[in-house]
Amino acid sequence: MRSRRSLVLPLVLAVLAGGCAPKSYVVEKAAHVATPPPATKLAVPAPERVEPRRVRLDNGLEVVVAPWSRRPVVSIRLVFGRGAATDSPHARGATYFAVAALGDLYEEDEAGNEMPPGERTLGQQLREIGARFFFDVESDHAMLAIDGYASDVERYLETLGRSIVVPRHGAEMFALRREAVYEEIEDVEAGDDETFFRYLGRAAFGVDHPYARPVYGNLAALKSLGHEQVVERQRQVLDPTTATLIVTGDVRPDGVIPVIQKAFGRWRPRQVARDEVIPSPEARSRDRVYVIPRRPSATMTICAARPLGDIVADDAALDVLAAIVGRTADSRLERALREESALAYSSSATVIRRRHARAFFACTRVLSEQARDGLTKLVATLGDVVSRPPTGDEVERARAVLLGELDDEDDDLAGRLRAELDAVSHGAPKRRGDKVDALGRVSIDDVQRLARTLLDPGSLQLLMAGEPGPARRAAEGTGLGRVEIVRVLR
Amino acid sequence: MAVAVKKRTLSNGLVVLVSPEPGSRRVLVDVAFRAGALYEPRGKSGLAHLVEHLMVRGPTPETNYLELLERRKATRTNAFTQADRMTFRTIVPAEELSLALWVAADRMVRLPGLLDAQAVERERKVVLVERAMRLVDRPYGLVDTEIDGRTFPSPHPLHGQVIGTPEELAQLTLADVQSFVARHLTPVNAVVTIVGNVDEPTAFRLVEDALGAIPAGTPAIAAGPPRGRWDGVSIEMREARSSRPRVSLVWRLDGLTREVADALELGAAILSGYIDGAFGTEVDAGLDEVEGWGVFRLDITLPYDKPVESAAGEAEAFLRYLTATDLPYDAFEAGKLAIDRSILFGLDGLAGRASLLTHLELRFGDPIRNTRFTEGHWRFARHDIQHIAWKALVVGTPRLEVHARPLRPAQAKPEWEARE
Repeated sequence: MRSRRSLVLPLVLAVLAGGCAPKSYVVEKAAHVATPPPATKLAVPAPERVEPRRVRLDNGLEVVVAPWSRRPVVSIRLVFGRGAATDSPHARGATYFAVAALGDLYEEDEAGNEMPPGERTLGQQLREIGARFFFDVESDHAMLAIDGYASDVERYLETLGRSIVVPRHGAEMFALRREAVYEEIEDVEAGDDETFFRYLGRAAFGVDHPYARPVYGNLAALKSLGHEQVVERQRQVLDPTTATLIVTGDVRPDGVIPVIQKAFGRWRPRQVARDEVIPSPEARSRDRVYVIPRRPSATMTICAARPLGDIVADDAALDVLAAIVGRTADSRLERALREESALAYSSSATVIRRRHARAFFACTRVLSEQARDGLTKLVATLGDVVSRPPTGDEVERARAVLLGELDDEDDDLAGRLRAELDAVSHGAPKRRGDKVDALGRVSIDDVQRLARTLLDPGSLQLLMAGEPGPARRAAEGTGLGRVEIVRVLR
Repeated sequence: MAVAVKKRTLSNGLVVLVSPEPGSRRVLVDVAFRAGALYEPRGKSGLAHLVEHLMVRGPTPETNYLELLERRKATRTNAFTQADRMTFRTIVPAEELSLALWVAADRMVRLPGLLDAQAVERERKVVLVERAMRLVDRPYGLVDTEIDGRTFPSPHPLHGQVIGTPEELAQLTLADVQSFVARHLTPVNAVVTIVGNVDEPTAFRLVEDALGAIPAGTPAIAAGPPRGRWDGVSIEMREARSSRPRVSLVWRLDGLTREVADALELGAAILSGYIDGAFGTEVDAGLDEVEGWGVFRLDITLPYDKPVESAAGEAEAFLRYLTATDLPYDAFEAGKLAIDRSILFGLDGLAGRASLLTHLELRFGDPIRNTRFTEGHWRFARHDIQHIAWKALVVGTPRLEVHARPLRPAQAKPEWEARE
């Protein structure tokens, strides 16, 4: 739904229209205390946390049932442990199409007979019983997702189980979807910010690293991808020994686990060769500035990034440093690029995590004509974190923000689901208490040491996404490296 | 699907809504003012949004609310401006509710006196970057600007959308900002919504302590519907950031009754959810409603390989889904389930619940009987929607029709290699 304007004009105000002159604003009458109050203990105690139930079926499928009963809803995620990063070099994009096919139409039944015209997609079947279906493919995993009513969880699981035990892989739908993706790539480059920035983030691992690849391949790979490769990849991906089924919502583990056993028990393990090991890349010395064309564009996105294969640090310490650089309200980037120079609306820094590697990624977005100022300021600000390392106060503030986010994560169904997905996709701690403890252990020394090594200016790769002309002029004018034009989606 | 909520109005006119959630460790505080773009003076589009930027935090350490809240484990501290309101939001640990309310009070009492021209100039620049990101660089962003400009012709405040036109933004002054703050960011124009781990008596007491003594101020007056003739017209525009053709149909509807508005909103939601969108056509419909008037809009975005010339036919086909009997009964019922589910998921989080309650207070002055909204979609049968939509959208109501033709031609289809 497009963002909606809700235009409200209470009748009582209309009656008063034109009748009243504004009163002066009498501040001194307010009994307002100038000092913020301390925390106060409130009457309602904090609730106990219910830990998820974890079981493994005989076929190897790991099952996580996390009860959450605020509303009568349920979210189901079937996560496959293979993703696009391990696509064969000759079949880039195969995982994406293999998983997409599971939700498409059958064209033939198991005996090879043509299906009747009334056959419905998995999404249509689920929608008719009140659920929403979607799929997602990432570098390390792929996922089928259902959100719906808790009372119908049994029907959802049965429907999902059928789609796995007898998977769909229609050739006609593959051809249609491939054409759609081929067309979509152009628009991702030109205007789809959300998808584009996901791909930009991948470049932090190095533009030629497996984690930097677009999940649906690129234009060249798409041209040579065949349906039989997709079917073969589907056989590899649909393996219960590498899969996890997460059920979060208003359900009882004792009630739902037998249903899962019935629906997924027939899913047979595959004899699949082990995936190639994805190397964890290390930082390289910068000798160029990568420019990713987006045209037309009134803005320029400027990023500094590096893989973290050579960095020994806890996840928690990395998160604290990233928060100081670009996540807190008074982060170094926010202060330099917005508060002091008004160049950017927002800036950010984050740690991107994959199963076998991590990367640091800091970005800002400025007007195209201010690209040079933005680039200079971004690089200088990151360098400043090395020469003027984080203070104890900054560490404490970042820690508070991250602890608050952990509390948020624990406070609704979406947050709990995200925590379980993080554990499955890249091995994040499963217990909230472990994350809290890890944050508590981060010291100022840890963060300062990290800042010195991680933000070493020569190790940060620079990427600019926007109009190539202004990007080239900005980069060449600063002497930060020679310009190389790259197309991340091609 | 009822949401438990208690309402109290303080002596200075401030409305307080409290919805306890004992299963949470957190408390969300929304402070919404009747201070959206509809309240901007003539020729000053973007003023409300600029004010929001300036009021998120102040220039001194004592008024750096974002930092202060972060230190006490606040999250999602943010502000946003819509046509009818300006909202400041934060989520804090339950024991920090007093702090969140202190910030709300300090924002009204101390911060207005600290605003200066330098800050106005800085945030004006920041807003222009935001506009370039959110509007100019967004697919169909400039087409939408044209649509809003024609739907709400100047001097209506929405002619420049909430973010404002660059020309009018350039003219805004510190005096404009101060006047808007003094006129609109006052208790009588405010709704404070608290959702989370707090009981009602405690919450009401803390609000009274923090905000009860601030002078009421004067009720704000929103702009009415655009004046002048609304003629049906069809225009074509070039779209540079998407290679998919889009057609938009826009109706300005005067004399909207509650029944008609509810039926159109439901019909639009069902229509928007009807299409899978996996390979091609996407449908996006919605009603923007004001007291007694509103704008209904239907956007059809076509697949890449469809010629823009076919857009009009596609749009008429989808309009028939809404206004005739073409929409299958099963799809209609599935649409209602989808709405139901999305409301339930929305109400699971503190933010969704607060947004609903604030909206019901601002729009109807009645957040208590909220099942009217959360379960209202069940009261319409398919023929009710179709009959109402047909009368509102087909019978003699002029409409604006905007065809966005991609500037960049669709790519030539590749020659797929002969593997298959």
